[in-house]
Amino acid sequence: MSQAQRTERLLNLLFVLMSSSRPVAKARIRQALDDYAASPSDDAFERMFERDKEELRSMGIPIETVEGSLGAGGIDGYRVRGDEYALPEVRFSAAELTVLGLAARVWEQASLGPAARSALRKLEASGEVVRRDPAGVIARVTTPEPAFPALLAAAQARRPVRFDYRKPGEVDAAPRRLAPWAVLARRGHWYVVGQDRDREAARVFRLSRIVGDVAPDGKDGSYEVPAGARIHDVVQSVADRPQATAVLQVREGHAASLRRRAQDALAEDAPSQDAPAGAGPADPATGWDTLTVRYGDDEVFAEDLVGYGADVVVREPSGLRDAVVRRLRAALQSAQGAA
Amino acid sequence: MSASTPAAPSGTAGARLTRLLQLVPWLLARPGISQRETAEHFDVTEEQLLADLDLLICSGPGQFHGELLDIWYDDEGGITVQDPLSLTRPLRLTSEEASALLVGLRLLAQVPGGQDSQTVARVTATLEAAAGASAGAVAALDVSVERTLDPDVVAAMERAVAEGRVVRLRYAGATRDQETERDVVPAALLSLDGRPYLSGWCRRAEAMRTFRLDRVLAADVLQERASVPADAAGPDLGTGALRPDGPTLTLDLAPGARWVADEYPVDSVVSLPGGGARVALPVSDPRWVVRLLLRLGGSATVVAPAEIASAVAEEALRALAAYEPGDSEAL
Repeated sequence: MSQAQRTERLLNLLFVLMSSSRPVAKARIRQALDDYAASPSDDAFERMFERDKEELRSMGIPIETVEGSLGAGGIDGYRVRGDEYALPEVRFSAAELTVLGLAARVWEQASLGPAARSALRKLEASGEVVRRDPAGVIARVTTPEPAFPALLAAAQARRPVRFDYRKPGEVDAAPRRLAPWAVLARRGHWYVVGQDRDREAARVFRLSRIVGDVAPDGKDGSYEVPAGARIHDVVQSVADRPQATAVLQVREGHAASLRRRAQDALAEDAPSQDAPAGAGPADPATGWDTLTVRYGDDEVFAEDLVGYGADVVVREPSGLRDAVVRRLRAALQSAQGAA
Repeated sequence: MSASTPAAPSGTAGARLTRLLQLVPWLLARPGISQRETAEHFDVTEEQLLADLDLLICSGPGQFHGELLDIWYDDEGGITVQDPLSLTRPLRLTSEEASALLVGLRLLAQVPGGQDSQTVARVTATLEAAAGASAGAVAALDVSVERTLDPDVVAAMERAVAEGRVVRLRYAGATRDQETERDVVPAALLSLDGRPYLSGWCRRAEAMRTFRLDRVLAADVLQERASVPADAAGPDLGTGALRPDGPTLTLDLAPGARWVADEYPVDSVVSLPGGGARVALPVSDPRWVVRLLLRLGGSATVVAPAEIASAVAEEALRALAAYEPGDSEAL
């Protein structure tokens, strides 16, 4: 079947469903559309009709199924109500249109770009047209991770998913099952947060560590996002949870961002912190400073620290120091093999 | 396919129907509009537009008069919808469409140099009312803007951009891990994935540079006004957003390090047997690559150039020397 023929059938089906305020019986729908009337069996018609209904719904068309609404036998009927279908009239001022254009351009290079443009076209239908290149702040969001569209759609439809996930520092990906609540960008990285269906707890996954496809693993609307779910807190706790305190020696004039982190910690936490955080005085004899920095995960922070090479040395705690030494040895081995 | 699947790929029946449903109300509000303008607005060729109109003209819930959608062409080819049937208004916004605009607006209100917050709030309210239930889906998407920025730095940047004044930055660069002082002629404040940047002409590098605001340790707006040299390239916000323009490093990544290909602007990615990948990574600063390779540990191998591998080995040895043998014995 050609794309044009299917488009035409979907369009005519929509017209039939909108033709009356009363629900339309399936039998009447079958008579009204040539493709349906010509289908060789009841089964063939049913399958075609179900697929078409799903397609229309996936476009956002609100098809209502009114059970047992028709005749003495109580046959199901279907309809699309005009007031539910139609976008209400909206008016925007010139300044507001500029803002709308800038908001749409945020997604210009992302997977939501087509959706943003489609939204603009709908809003412009009976009014002014939004400028496509408004002057103003340049804000862009990119969604390079292939998992983004599927996860966002699943979170919006509340549809459980499964995917393979590679934890930081691990080589093999393991299958995970998730009821996604939201997809968020934080500090330039995308995360999905939701209920891990195997671990039965809230979990956060970084999209760039998802391997392969995100597959549906249940029906739409099969769970609710818990009312008290503090999605941002969950993500924050993973993205930068400060739980432990490290004592570092840092060569003078190096690791500016670690120094800043030490100062931030000092400013935020003083005076009631148990663990004193901040920068100690430089030792002029050695050319090294001692920093106290709060951090989350040993492995995650170690990955950060080895990047400073010989300019940063971990004094405490031993778990972090061991993680750094292990990583340095692995890098050394790999580099010696290559050189 | 189930509800709120991401927008149908263009070329499918669903994508085409979406366009047809937008086309009719658009034409209805603009009687006699030209084919060229309409095709441009919908980003299709005029042939495609005519095919779309043909398809619409023979459609309707029945075969009788008043049951068929009616479109006329005038002598100049202008399009007029005579009878739109039930398609007088566009279809309401989908979850995806509503959240794209609403999250975009939220971002505009938060980023440095952003829009007047009252206008953004008004547009947001209008949009939420129009989107109805679809607006609720916005809860499933968010981009959080860096909130730990120094407000003095942000204010200085906004002023420098607005007044076109040179700004003196104390900057903690990622590549050299050292502070530098730079005079920058500001071009624009950008926000990429919620991270704010200043783009401008760096007098020290004598080139356009993009600076992360969270790495700006201090910013002084100077009296001097200046403009970015006319022939300087603007910031490229595409995939090559911050692509360095240096020599190319070839790296073999273990499966666990494939994220490198997502994080950094690589020139090519070739999958290797076993799930790894060989990537070509442009580098402007060898120091930065050494840091990256140290961070990757054993999960990346330098294919070329060999000097980089030697530099990594050297730095790893220096770093390990700082840990006394007794400390690492337990590993």
